Amino acid sequence: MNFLSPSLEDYLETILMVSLQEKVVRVKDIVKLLNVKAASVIGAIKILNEKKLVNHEKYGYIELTTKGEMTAKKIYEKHQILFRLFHKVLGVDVQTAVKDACQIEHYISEETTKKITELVEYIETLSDKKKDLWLSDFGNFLREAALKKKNTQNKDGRNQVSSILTLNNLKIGQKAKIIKINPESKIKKQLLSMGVLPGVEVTVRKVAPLGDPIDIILKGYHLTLRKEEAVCIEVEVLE
Amino acid sequence: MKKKIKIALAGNPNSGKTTIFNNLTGSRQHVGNWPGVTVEKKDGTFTYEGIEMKVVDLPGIYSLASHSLDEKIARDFLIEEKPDVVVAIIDSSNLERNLYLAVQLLELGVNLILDLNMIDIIENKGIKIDIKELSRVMSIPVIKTAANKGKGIDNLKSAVKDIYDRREKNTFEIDYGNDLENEIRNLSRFLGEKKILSRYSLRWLVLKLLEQDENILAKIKGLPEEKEVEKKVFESIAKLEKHFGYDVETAIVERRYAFLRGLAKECCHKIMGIRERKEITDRIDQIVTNKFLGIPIFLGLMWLTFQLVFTFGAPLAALIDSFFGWLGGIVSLGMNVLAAPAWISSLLVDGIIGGVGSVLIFLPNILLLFLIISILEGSGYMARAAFIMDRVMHTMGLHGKSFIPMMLGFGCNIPGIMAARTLESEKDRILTILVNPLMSCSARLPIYTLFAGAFFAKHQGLVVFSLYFMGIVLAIVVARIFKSIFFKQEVAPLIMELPPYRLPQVKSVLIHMWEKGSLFLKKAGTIIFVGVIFIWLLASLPAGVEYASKESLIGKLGSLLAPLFSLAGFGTWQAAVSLLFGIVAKEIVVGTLGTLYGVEGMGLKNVILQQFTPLSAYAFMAMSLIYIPCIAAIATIKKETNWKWTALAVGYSLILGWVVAVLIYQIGSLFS
Ligand SMILES: Nc1nc2c(ncn2[C@@H]2O[C@H](COP(=O)(O)OP(=O)(O)O)[C@@H](O)[C@H]2O)c(=O)[nH]1
Ligand SMILES: [Mg+2]
Repeated sequence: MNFLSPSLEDYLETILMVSLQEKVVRVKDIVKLLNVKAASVIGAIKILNEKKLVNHEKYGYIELTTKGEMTAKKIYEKHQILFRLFHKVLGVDVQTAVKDACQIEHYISEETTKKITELVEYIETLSDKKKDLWLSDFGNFLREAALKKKNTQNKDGRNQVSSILTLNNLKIGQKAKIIKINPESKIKKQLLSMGVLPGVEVTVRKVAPLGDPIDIILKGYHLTLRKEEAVCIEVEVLE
Repeated sequence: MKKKIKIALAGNPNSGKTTIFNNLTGSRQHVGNWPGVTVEKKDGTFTYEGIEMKVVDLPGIYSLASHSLDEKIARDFLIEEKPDVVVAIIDSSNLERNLYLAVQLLELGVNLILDLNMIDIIENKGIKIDIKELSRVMSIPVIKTAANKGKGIDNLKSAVKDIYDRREKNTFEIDYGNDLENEIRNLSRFLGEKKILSRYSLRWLVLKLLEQDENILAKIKGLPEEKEVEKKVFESIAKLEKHFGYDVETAIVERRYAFLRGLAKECCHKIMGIRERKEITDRIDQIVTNKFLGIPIFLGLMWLTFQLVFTFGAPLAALIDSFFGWLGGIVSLGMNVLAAPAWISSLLVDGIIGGVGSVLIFLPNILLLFLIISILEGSGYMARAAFIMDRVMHTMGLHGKSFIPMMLGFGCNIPGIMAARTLESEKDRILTILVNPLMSCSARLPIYTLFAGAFFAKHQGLVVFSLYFMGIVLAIVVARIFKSIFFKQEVAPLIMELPPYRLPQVKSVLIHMWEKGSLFLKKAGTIIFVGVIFIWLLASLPAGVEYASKESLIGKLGSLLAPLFSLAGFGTWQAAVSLLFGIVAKEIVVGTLGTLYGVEGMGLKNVILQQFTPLSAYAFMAMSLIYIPCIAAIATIKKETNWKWTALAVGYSLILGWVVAVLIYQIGSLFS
């Protein structure tokens, strides 16, 4: 078995990443990137050399063998897919996502990686509209869950849960303040110019007889939009 | 040379632009298209104190961000044509949002007058706007109008002359706050030194770059400094976004609105709450867009529209009918007296008078239809109709706004197809255009009126309504099929204001009605006239045949096609020929039948009664509804799309029309 410790895998991965960007890989590149001592790098390279994963002449350049490159790529792909899952899908912030991906990549099985890849790819192939709906649905589910939790723990009253929803989930007569408009949304410009802005209060006035679109009041006028468009407007319920 | 002041009217939809335009120009107006596109452009002239002024009614817009075609047109006009004076028409009852456009106009650097229109509405509520303060803060002249009553129009005219004479450069600027202002200054310096796109006002250009305005970014593309500008702008944006924690565009819009909120508060003695302002509108909407009543009311209004068109139109139509009968009699008598050759007499009486008369007879119906449509538009009900119908239009794969082109299609498919321009997404536009000819236009009315009047006199309204309804159902089916074949993507968003209900101004309604009516007449006067003469020729050739006989060219052509239609119950050569010439324009069908049978008016009705059965008459009407849009519609579709879509529109309607007519006749025959 060709077992590599997590730290050795990290070295291998780093060599791959440097080699993708630079013509040659030197010990000092690795030192800089991983923020470790040169001695440790040389030690690690030596082991990798023994395992026939890299070629390294003394004081010369480091080169991945075919086998080394394949191993490194596998780890790197795991890293990438985990990062996509954490950051793009789950909305974990970049730094945490990178950190966690760096840890988990060494322990996760091929099979699980494959399943995660499929899931992430599925979500990313969804059209923008569906993705928005999915994410809004997911967000609302989490908020509701949090709200329930808050209600059950109500007595100690420490759990602060804000009532943030997307506009499509407001009920008739509910008043809310706009928190933000999804900056990726294609209708942002149009909404902005009509006064749909962060900080503005909106009231849901009506739903069309057939269930869609909705009629909202803001800045003293009636605006109508479809629920699927209201998804990109995040609001905080006021009453 | 006499000077001529060029004025542009800009404003939000429903702020009263067209009403003011009509008040300024009266009948001295011209309707055409914006260059290169088929969005309606209205311009007109008037004189004030001996100076000739030229006014343009810009499309109704909310901003100059150019995300829609209308905004782009307005912006291009303001930048390229440089009107001497721009009047920002403001709905005073919604000061803040209406001023947003005015602020953008000022930033663009135009010579602006602020016109607080609808002042009557808010003064009735006891609210005063401090004009002096508004004028001082924005450093532009401000006037008040109540356009529907014609009040304040003279003030507007003199304000235009004043500002034109003074020609001061406007100095108004919004303070965007230190961070933004710093970046604005940096970028201005950079762009100013390099003289990049110097025909734009510098500050405006910088703001548009920060807002990442697609149009301006496209203009930067290809300049030698492209990369440099992009880099600079990106740096600024990155810096600002890091600072604000959200996107710069939102920040800029937010600051504009913040300024306006302050301004509106300062200048209004009492800012209206929605409850006071919309009292009546809300009360009407409680019923009109009600969960249960909304749809019945909508359908009822549509039904009422057509009943009105028929009941009020009928006596007038009869009058016109007898006029042409009388004229034909006089002319043929005169020809006899003059001993003119028989063929000249025939050309005049059978061809020209008979044909044109058969078309003009329906002008009352058409004018009434447009009267109602323009009332629906002016009152604000159209937007509610879109609100109520969006779900349906959306399932058709269309947009609530497509309802309006469809609705216009009932008057005439040409404005209907052109109104599809209001749709921002090309896919919605093409689908709307493709199925628009299935909306039964008023040119089919002559056919329905003749046949339904002859066979279904008691239930004429119901039968005609069923044809309109059939067109709608087919449009739904066809739109869905085409959408699934050609466009699988999503449709454009629906983001639309529901304007307060207003009493439409009689003058505006009449002007609108006349405009559309004369459009129909022009069509009738040119294409139809040529068409009728052409038929007459075909019916008279080869020389020596009896007029419109089976031996004439037209008769031979009809005989050739007739077997195809016998499956639908109208396999006569006359019916085939009339359908053939209906392609020129559908109203010709009736004229052709008249010419072919050598009769008109009541005489034609009697002939029809002998030639058709109620069932084949209905199949014939269905065929007339569906098959091939008329030549003018085909030309408009081509203009709006391309040959591929045009060929599709012609091809599918021809096949569908035949299939439906055959089905009606065959299935109907089983029951009778
Ligand atoms: N009460 C009131 N109604 C107005 C005034 N100006 C226009 N209207 C009405 O407002 C509606 C929309 O006007 P229109 O000119 O079509 O607006 P546009 O969309 O800007 O061209 C019409 O029914 C007009 O009669 C006004 O000053 N006061
Ligand atoms: Mg208008």
